[in-house]
Amino acid sequence: MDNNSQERSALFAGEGSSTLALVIYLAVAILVMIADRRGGYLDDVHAFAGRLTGPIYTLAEMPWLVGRSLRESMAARKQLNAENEQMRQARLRSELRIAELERDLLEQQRLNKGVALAAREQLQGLPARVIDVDLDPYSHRVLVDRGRVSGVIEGAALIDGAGVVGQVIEVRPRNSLVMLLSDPGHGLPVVNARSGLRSILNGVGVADRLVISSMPLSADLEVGDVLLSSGVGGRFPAGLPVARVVAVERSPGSAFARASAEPLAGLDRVRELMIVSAPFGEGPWPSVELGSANGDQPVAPTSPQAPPAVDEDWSVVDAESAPMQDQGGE
Amino acid sequence: MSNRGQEWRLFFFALLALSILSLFRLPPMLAPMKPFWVGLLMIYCALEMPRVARLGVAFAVGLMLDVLTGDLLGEHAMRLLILTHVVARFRFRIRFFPVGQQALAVFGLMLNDRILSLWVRLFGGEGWPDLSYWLSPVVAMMLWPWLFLVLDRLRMRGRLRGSSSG
Repeated sequence: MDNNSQERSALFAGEGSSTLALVIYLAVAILVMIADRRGGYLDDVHAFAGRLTGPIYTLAEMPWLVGRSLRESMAARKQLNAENEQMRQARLRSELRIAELERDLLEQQRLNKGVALAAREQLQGLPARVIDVDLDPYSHRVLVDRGRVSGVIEGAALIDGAGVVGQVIEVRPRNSLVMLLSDPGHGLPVVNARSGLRSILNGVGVADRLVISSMPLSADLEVGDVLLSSGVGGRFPAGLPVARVVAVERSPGSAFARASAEPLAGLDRVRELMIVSAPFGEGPWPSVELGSANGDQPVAPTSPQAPPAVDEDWSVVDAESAPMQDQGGE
Repeated sequence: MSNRGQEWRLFFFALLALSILSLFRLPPMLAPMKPFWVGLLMIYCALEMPRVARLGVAFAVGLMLDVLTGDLLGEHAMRLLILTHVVARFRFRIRFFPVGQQALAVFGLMLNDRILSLWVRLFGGEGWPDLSYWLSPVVAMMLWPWLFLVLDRLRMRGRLRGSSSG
């Protein structure tokens, strides 16, 4: 055993790898983990430390940015033309789709007079891009390139072309950290578009699977149902399409039914996103006037607390038509 | 004294470079193979620069990584603490291993680190990751001799320059 010599060299070098120090540091680390997981006592620490990270992300992303700009400048004109043509067609199709949806919406409003099914609140949308850094291939977090400077608030929803991707959990000056729906710590209040049943959709750590773990056995939920965000609980906007139910288990042995759903958005391959948030910051319920369903103009909510110092153009989108939702289902 | 300053300078430079390297996005095929770069750096420091590789340093670096990757605060800190401590404990043995055996030791350390990380994940309610999760220690083992060479070269050069100027 060279224990002796090790002790001596430790003495000379002044290194502190004694077991006691290790135990103390480990205890601190574990306490920090617990404090961070339960109750988020460390939000201020996150907020402070996050402010310092921006430049590192920029450096880490640099090769990709250079590569992209090179590729873009070298793309042949012909290819651009073809792409342009494709996009024009896609736009036509989506305009058509929007027209259809608007027609459906009007019809629906006529049908349920007085009952504003989805709150007709105006949402604000801000295009964002996922920053090309790899936090951890096994974590359910991504960074997006918009932060406090652009008016992003914590709890804002992120959508891609198909549905909800996740929500902002930490706003930093020029970027924000997004928790994807698939994170086991993520629970989203949803409402079944068909039956109006409310429940909570949880992540399980897999990109293409979400579950509703505790509903009554008699709950009205079927395979193929589309789940929309319900907006219960505050800042997350209501009425955005989230997932489609793929399986419902009602085992006679258990007191609850359990359903699994597939997110409409491709969580593991998101790049271009839209940050959507209801413009009225805090408050348990959006202060939108429900019930004025006859109005063709959506109720423009007066914002007591507009996003501060916005330097980007937030475009106003409708809660219903923001993502191309297809409730029909196959 | 200037020797010590040199060591710290090398440490911070390598830390910055390796943190950036570990944030660098790889094609999805290669992403799971990404080694725990900063862990490898801590192993090197614990072996060759014990004055730098103190537990307090490991803890601080770990917290920084947690903030950088948006992970649970304290996860990297715990992993680096254990890594540093184990290497410091067996420093005199691992240091005089031939390269191949040393790489094997690195593999063991990284495997242990992966298990710790898995343990934290399971506590957080995540499921078992797929098999590719275990690729990273293998890659770390294969990269170890090269990283060791580069860092050693840098350190020697720093030492020479430091002694000639000071």
